[in-house]
Amino acid sequence: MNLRRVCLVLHAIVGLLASGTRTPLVGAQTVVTGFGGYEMRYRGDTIWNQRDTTMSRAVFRGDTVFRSTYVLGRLTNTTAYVVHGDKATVIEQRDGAGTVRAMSLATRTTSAAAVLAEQHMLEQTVRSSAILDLNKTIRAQTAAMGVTMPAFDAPSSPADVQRYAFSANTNISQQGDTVRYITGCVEAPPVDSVVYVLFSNDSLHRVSAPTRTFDRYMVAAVRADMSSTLIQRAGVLGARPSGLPGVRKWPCDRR
Amino acid sequence: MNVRQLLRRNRYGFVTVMLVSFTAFSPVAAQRVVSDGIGSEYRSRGDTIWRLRDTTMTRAVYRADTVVQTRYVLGRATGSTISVVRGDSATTVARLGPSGEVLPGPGAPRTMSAILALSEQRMFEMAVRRESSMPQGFALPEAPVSPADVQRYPLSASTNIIQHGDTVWYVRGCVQEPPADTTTYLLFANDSLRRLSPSPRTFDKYMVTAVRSDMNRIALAQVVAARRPPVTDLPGVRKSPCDKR
Repeated sequence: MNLRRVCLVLHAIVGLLASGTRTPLVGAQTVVTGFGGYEMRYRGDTIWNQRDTTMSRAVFRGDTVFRSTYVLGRLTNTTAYVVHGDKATVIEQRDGAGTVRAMSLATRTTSAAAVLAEQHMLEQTVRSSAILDLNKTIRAQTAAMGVTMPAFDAPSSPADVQRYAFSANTNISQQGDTVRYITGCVEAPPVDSVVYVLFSNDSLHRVSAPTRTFDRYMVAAVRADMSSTLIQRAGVLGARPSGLPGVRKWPCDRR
Repeated sequence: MNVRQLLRRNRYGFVTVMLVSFTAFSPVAAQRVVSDGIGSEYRSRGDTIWRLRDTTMTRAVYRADTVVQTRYVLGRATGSTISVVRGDSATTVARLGPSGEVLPGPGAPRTMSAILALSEQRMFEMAVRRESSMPQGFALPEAPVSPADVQRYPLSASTNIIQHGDTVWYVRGCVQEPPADTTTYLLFANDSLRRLSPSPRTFDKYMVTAVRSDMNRIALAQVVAARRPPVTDLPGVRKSPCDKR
């Protein structure tokens, strides 16, 4: 009898494994990586867009779009829209617990472009990923010929301190596996630093309080932040014109 | 001493002072004018940037860490926003009405991204970079000025533009998805434009630039689309019946 029960359990496990192999959820998804540190996946009528700790999911059914946002794996909100040409109407909003939120009539109509952001972004990412693949091939071929093309990837674990002027008030410094996001500066206090330790491209640990380990999407976002400043520094977009009107430069701005 | 006596005593000096002061304060002569290639024109002088598109003008004045953004529609001010920029964020300190009166705020100052407060500065910088990086003699594909045959430009999911001769129709909606609404314009080269229907009115060159940039954008997209393979089988909403893209 015990042997029969064991056989039944084993049969059930094999059945479950076989059914899992038959509908491989992850395997059927197509994954494309964007340049800004985000990853897009799509399958059937659904698009997932993930960057750092945030994932947005858009499900398309006829003229209706269901958009959900997840932060650290937890659902924060879902909105349903109906798209009519260039416009979209919000038909329902729910919070993370699934409770329907009250809506005002004034905020119910919005631009279809905003609602279809994932759809347009995916199309652009699919097109740009083809260009990135071509770029990688060209780089490999030119490297084989002894010609090095400029790269805009931040080093993985540099021995010397690398500095990246990220924005007017945020500077990133990288040394070894440690990355510091420094907000503010001595001239414009308060100064606040968040320290991360990178484990290659797999995961990342926030050493500063509150300590926490993040997955590879956070690594991709941090690496994209550093790489984006290298593009600006290289002047790919042309030299920054001088003598234009603007606000006084912020003292922490190293760009 | 009156003006006549002054002129008699130092005629040349007075004329010189007048000429110098006219040159120094002439707003047109000292302005830098740049087009962004997508229908907007930027002008800058001193600490001010003007952005003009169709019937709308936005003026941004920068004084140290303060930005005053004023919006005009058909030459009339509609309101101003005064913001103070601190690093990556900006705080709206006052909102003014059309005649400069201070509007009641929500109570606490509103904080937003500095990108919004500095949008004119960023866009003007991009327009300057675009102009300086464009090779000499390089021209993007453009819509014809006065075509003998009917030209069609699918502008968006529910708007299609039709151009024939000097007449341009903006058709919103379609028979399959009513209501269909048409606005008819008559272009006078690049100088001005008359809206024939509804509510007839004549507009200046900025409206012409905006209409032509709508058509040019589609003409360019059609050339690009013909040269690259289409991306198919992606998730998305059902296509609108008016969508001719």
